[in-house]
Order: sequence, then structure tokens, then C-alpha cells
Amino acid sequence: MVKLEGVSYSYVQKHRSVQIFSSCSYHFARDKIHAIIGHSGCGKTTLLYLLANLITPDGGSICFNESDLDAVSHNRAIILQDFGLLPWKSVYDNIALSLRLRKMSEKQTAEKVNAVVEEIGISHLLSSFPSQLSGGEKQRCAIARAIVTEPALLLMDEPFSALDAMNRESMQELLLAIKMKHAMTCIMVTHSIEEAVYLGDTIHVMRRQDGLPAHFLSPIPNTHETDDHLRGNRRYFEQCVRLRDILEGGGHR
Amino acid sequence: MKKSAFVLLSLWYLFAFITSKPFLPYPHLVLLHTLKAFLNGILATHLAISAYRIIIALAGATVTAAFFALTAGRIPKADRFLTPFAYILYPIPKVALLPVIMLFLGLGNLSKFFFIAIVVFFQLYFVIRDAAYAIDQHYIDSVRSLGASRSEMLIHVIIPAVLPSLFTALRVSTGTATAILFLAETFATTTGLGWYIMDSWARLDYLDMYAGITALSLLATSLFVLFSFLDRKLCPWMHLKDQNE
Repeated sequence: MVKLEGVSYSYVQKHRSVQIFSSCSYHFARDKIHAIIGHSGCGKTTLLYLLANLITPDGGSICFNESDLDAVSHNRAIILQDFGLLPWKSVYDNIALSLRLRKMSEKQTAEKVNAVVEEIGISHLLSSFPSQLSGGEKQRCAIARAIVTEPALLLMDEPFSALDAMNRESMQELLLAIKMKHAMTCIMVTHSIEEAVYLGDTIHVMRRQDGLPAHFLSPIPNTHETDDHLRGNRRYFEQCVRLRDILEGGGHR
Repeated sequence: MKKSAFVLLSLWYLFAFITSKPFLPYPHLVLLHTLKAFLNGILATHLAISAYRIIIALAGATVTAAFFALTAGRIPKADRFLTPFAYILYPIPKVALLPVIMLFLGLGNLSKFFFIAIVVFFQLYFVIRDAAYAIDQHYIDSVRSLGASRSEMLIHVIIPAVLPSLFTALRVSTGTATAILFLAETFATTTGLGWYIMDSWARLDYLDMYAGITALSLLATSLFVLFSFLDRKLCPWMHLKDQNE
């Protein structure tokens, strides 16, 4: 479980303090896909950066499976909006980087990288550089880099927003397939109502209005796990409409 | 490349033919004389001395400029401290400082190293500092999220990100460094290609003078080619278009 306890965070913009979170307490259940959705500027990415330990909260604590988040850095991976692949490293080196940073031997690194690229279907791209890849291939590479360390917590910042519709759907399927195979907690920030409904086991709506700190509405459980063809299912559309209403309908649900 | 060399040589032949002056000999005469001077060892010795001076100066300038520029480019406080000094010192014509440098560092190689290095330093500093400053924060975040330490960040992100700009700056600086080397070797020395050219000129030995100029040009060209080679070897992601052609 990912648990935020009284987390506060603010930053200074043009000599003015902007409060994003104030004593925010929330939790995300273990081994589920959590879709976080909300309007631009409501603090979704800030939350993800806090969970990734890329920024430090002003107060409060963030725990993952009862341990302080600092202690689990090796058990966590993040996929950034623009994939975050290093242009000067080949696909192999990009994926191997997290393992090398953990001082893993080259032999073990090669074994793990080869296994993950086989699973993701990019073994033919190992010697390519990111600039030679299509959007979908870059996304696959970013996913491979994230899961090669077998993280218990996978954070994703609008991971599929840069892809065209077909690629986006195939990446969503890939993510679900990976999630079926590897037990991990996924927290995904998205702008897309359809994506949140399709992928999220639970949907979390974030809201931040009139410069006040952000807060979460009650989590919306999703029921897609039993559906084989969710996109054509009536309940999928109903859930999308419901979520849209919540997002458009002011502060209450 | 071959076409450009052919055009330049043709123009040289044309001007030599039109002017018909002893101080503009034909290219083949210069080439033959250069080979002769090189084989008898005198030109080679001066070329080796000049090469030694420029390589040490460029290496020194690169290491110090890279250190200060990376520090300024990545640490805002250091930038606020260092860059104003660079802005004040850069426009000062360093060539005018040659007598001062010689008074402080003597007439030996040290003053020549310093003289070349101080001119090249600022060209490298600004380019590397700007490249380090402009590194996309996403790359930093991406590698930090993997748990990289500061030194690992330097190795995996900062240095590779600025390397292409460093090689561009070095290629641009090659011409400047060679010009400053020539100037440095025309004062208080009897070694190096600068001295060789000026001495030949004073003796009205124009073929020898051109042999010195050819050797100096070859030295600059070799450095230029070396930096281009290193750029291709160490920054392959910057040359993918060339591979596809």
C-alpha cells in the first residue's frame, strides 16, 4: 500500500508560495492499477514526483508497504510523459542503466535486459538510439526500462499521451499484460477519461480550485477486470460518462 | 572535400601565374620544398614543438573550462558567482596581454601554454556552460528516479549531454588556437613553426616560409580532423543521419 500521511508541499512562483498539498492523507491499495485524473494544474504530476522521491514534501510522510519511501528507491520505477530515454544511449544501454546503477554484473544485466525486451517485443531494436524509434517503440523501451528492475511500485506520468490512437491502445494492452504477469502497484496520472476507465482498477479524481490545496474525491472502483472486450461494453461507456460528469460537475459527487 | 581542394589549388595556380611574384610560388614547388624540409628533420622538429605547445594548451584549457563551465551550468549559485567574471574577462583582448604573461611566466613554454589556453578557455567555457545549463530536466529526473548518485549523474547524463557541444567548440577553437600559437612563437623564441615562418620571411626564403605555413595548416587540420573523429566515435547518436546516407 502507498500511504500519504499529512503530506504538505508548496513551491515558490514569482515570489509567491503556491500550496499544492496541505496535510493531505490518502492511500493507494497494493497490487492495483490506480488511475489519477484531474484538470491541468491540479497537482497530479507533483503527486507522482513526490511518490518518485524526485521532490521532497514540506511535511508529512509517504510510506510504501509500511516502509519509508526513501528506503524503497530500488523498488520503484517511473515512466515520464516524454519517456525520459537518454538520447545518447542505445536502447540496450537505456534499459540496462538502472541495473548498472545497482552494480549488477554485465552478465546478469544482459540476461535481464534480454528477457524483458523479449517480453516487450523490442529485441530487434537493442542497438538503435531513441531518435531512431517511433513513438510506440520509445514507449515500449521506457516500459522495458521501468520493469527490468521488477519494481513493486510503477509510477506513470501520462505514459501514452504522446501516442496515436492505435499505438495507445496497443500500449494499454501491453501494460495490462505486464500487470497480469508481474505483481506491482501502478499509479498512473492521465488526462484521458477513457484511459482511466480502461486501465484503472480504481480511479482517483484530484481537484484543486481557486488556489486552494489539492484534494481527492472518493475513489471510484472500476469493474473492468471481468470484461474481455471492455471497450465495446455498455458499462465502459457509462463509467466514462459518469467520470466525465464528475470532472465537469464542480466540487461534489 | 576533394572538389573544394581542387578548386582552391586551381585558384592558387591561377594567382601564382597572374602575379608571377617570387613570394607566391606554385603549389607543387611548395609541396616539394615542404617534403624536403620535412625529410631533413628541421621542419619536423619545429612542427613537433608547435604540436606539443598547442596540444598541452588545448588540453589544459579544455579541462579547466569544462570544470568551471559544468559547475556554472548545473549549480545556479556557482553560475551567479562565475559567469559575471567570464563576461568581464572575455571581451578583454588577450593578445594584448602577451607581454604581461611573458613578464609573469617567463619566455619558456609555460607562457605560451597559458597564452593559448586563456584565449581558448572562454570560447569553451561559454559553449559548455550553455550546453550544461540547457540539459532537459526530464533526463535528470529520469536518471535520478533510478537512484543515481551525483557522480553517476555526471557520467550518464551531464557529460554525454555536453560532449557534442564540447567538440563543436574545440573545432571552432582550433583556428583561434593555431593563430595564437603562431603569435606566441614569433616572440622571444627560436623554436616552433611561428618562428620558422617569420625567420624564413626575414631571409626572403619564400619556399621555406610556405613550407612553415603548410606545416602549421597541417597541424590545425590534423587537430580539426582529430576532434571530428572523436566526435563521431564518442557521440554516435549525433551522426545517425550520416550512417543512413
